Amino acid sequence: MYLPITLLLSLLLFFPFHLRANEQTEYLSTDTYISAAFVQKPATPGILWATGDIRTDIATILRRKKFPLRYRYYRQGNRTVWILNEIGKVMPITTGVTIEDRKIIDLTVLIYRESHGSEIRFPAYSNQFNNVELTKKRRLSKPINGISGATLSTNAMKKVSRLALYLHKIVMEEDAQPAQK
Amino acid sequence: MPNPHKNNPMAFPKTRRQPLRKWHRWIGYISFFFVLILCITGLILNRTESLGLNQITLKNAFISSLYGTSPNAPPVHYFSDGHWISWLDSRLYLNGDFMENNAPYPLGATHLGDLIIIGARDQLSLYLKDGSLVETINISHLPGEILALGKTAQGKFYMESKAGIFTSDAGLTAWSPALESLKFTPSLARPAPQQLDEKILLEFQGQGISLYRLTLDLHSGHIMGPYGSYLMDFAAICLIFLGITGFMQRRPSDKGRQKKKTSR
Repeated sequence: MYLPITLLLSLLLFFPFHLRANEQTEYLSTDTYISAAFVQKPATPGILWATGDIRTDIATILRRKKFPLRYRYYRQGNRTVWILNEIGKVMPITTGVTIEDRKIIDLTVLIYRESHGSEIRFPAYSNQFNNVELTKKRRLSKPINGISGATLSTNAMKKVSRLALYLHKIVMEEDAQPAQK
Repeated sequence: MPNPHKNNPMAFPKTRRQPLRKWHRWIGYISFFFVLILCITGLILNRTESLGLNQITLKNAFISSLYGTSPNAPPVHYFSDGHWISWLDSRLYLNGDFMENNAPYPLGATHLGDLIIIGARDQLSLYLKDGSLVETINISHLPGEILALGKTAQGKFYMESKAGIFTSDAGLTAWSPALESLKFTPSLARPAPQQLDEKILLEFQGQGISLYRLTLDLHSGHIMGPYGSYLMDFAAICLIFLGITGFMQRRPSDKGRQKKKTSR
């Protein structure tokens, strides 16, 4: 008589009623990333307001209407560093993008919060973005191979790289305009 | 006494019947609870309309937690410049209206001109008073991990970190250590009006669970998580097994016995 009750109870006790797996993993601190991109971290960041046409362009790149009104960046000469958040499936992925002369020289996943798809942090994937530029149609100049099982995260990385390249271009253009005048 | 089943081809051999009976009994014990749920909920579901199951809504913390609609912690509220900033399970609300998802636990909220500043341990989020996001300032742009935030007597924004107390310019781009003589008013969580609490909870978990949905999920096993339906499948298979084995164990003599009893 006791055997079936024991069986029943053990079945209920070990039953995985709630499976939750959303943990934040920091691979590299943002401070370290910015410092590594420059010889010395610039004292104050630059600020770029996303208004007017810039807002329309960003909405096209990100394919959504809700995004920040301003972006912060660090700059030294022609090199800029952007720390951007983009949602993979449900949680934002914090990514550092370093751009020089309108080309990505480094893309690193700093904080990953999703349960699946953290493979995008490996250089085997992220190195594909090196030397990638933005075309006139605001697309990446090289095709980026995806990772099966991490489709949404890889899509987020493509968006982040396009956004960083676009913002870098705007910063450089804004800088060039007073000089032309 | 002569055996009446000796020449009956329908009779199941006694040697085979005994382990079958054992199996029948054990499977019966094991599946009893689930079969009971299956049968009772099935009976109720057959009367959905007459019992009005769709019209009955349940608002119970335990049932909400089973459906994952119960918040992990009660909401946190801050009041600044006539606005209520609330946080519930990674969701931010401005005066009870949803503002942002995936927001970390806030340590304080204040305003600076047109900006609403919400501080978490490792970030500051700036919003306009219509709820649109201006910027999320990462820890790399801050003097350190935030312990508290608020405003000085002069109306400047300040944040307290392990490295000390810092004030910033209007754009929150540069930080400077605060003078000791400055007076600070930290932003503290406070209880919100009940209406606001209810509005946020309603947005968070909806109107509640209908009794029909609960009965259906009990019947199908979905209430027990992703594998619950397999458990109820198992119960249904057990029920089929019990039916078949019960039929196989049927004693052909039963009819004869009843006749004998009635003749007596």
